[in-house]
Amino acid sequence: MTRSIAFASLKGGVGKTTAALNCAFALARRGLRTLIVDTDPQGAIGLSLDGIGDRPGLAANLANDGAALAGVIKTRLPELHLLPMGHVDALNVDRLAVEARDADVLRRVIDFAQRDYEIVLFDTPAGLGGMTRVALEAVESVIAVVQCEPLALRSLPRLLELLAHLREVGASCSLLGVLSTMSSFRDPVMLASLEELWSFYKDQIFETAIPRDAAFLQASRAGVPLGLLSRRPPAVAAVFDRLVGEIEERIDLQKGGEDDGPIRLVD
Amino acid sequence: MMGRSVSWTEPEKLAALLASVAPPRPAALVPLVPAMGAMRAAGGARARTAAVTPPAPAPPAPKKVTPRLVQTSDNPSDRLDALVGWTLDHQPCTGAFVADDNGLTLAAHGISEAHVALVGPLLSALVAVRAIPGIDASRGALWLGTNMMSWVETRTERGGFCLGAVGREALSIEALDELRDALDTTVRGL
Amino acid sequence: MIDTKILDAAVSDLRNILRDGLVATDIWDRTAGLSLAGYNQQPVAVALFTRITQELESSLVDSSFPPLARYYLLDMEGNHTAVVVNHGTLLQGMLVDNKRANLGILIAVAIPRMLESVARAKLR
Repeated sequence: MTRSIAFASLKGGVGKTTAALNCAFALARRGLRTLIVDTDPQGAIGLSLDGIGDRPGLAANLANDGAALAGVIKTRLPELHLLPMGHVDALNVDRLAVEARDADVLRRVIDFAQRDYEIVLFDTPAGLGGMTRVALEAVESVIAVVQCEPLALRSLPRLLELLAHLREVGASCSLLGVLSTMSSFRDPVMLASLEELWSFYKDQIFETAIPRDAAFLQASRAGVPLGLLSRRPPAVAAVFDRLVGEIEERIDLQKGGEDDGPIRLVD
Repeated sequence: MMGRSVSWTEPEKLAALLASVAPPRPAALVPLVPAMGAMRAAGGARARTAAVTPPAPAPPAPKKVTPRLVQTSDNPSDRLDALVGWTLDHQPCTGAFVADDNGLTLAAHGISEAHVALVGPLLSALVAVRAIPGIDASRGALWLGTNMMSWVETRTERGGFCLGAVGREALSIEALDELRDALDTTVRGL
Repeated sequence: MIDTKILDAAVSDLRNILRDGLVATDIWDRTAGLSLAGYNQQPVAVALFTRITQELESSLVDSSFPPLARYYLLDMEGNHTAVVVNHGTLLQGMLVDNKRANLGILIAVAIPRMLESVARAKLR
């Protein structure tokens, strides 16, 4: 069964796209056939990766009533594909979410992904309405991304409340974990935030915290995942290998595959 | 440091919220300390089996050739245990130990803590002795009550290591050479 | 750049030396708290020992004591010793079971080996 995970946060700029993108890369590197879907009307994935530009994707599929997975882009890693959002007119952002819900487009993406992918990651826009809510209604699991600073921490329960509400009305999404980002031990406020996260969210917190690191800015500038920043990736790239190890453990990905055996190197 | 929580979170409310959104976990979390497998290999086991034995009568000095110590493990504990075991097997002594030049015991069998505690001050004192031209202070023997403690020392980039043997008599020059050779062989892999 | 493969190998070597005497270890960047290698890692410990080390270093300096050199030890209840090794920009914490690990081997062998390995990893 294909697993589906949304990266969500009420607050913007916490690193959802960076986390989703680098997790997708790390999952693919581990040999899992992975699809990352951009549900952000601003096209955050497209803005993060060199070479995507205005390629049509989810938005065009909605507008044209096309196949759910039309516009999927292959990447350098055979196991990693991505479905960008494509261009969305600023005036149509609100309508996009309504149309997406009416067309049940994200569930269709997951349904169609069953054949070709073991995991589908959804990057969502900031906030809890619009496309975020559509994504949360469709997916099986949610990773709450929280920056190590007070405002992000204070907004986290709002996301949990929404999740609880959606579950009450029949959605199946559950909290896979809380991912802390931009951690730094230099700043006492950040450290206090991190300590509170560990203290309040305990087992829900992923042990791997994404640190604040200059390599993220370099990767952003180059428009690549951290793992492709250079032939010898920066040390911080290893953080995502550890994180996806935790994700796999939590969703039991290893045991999920029916054909969990040797994979032929040569076809 | 802080008067108030930075997240303004109410723990009870949050706990209820988390319980309502948490998925059933597939398996129990991995225990903090997984079993690490086998205990130390034969050398260590051998060295620990017997309690401290009373000083045996001095054995007649055999003229047989002492086999060289062959280290087969790259694990420091195993190497040190093998060194102590080899010393007990092939030298006329009832106890043996390896210590660093601060007197910290790395491996020992059949000796009292007092002997080992002596190593640190002894080696420190010998540092000054070593400065005297013509004096080799890297080996020696010392009467301690009814026992004689013989030792050899070797130095590495990481500091000095000392192999000591306790018995009724001081070890011969040849025996100290053998100890030194065995100690060198052992610490080369540490 | 730090070669994390060398760090992984060093952690593996440490586990081989201390065996079941090593309860946990973690090597991290002290600025970002970025964990680079370890075994049974615990982020809470990373934060805690970063803070303790900073306090220790600043207190030593403020009191005109010599600065922290290679490591410090904390004897903890339950027969455990926490060892914090100072690798400069990196810190390493080890939680050691006193009953199972030999302190002499820890100090005379394991720590010097770790210091050499981490220095090599930082050279890359």
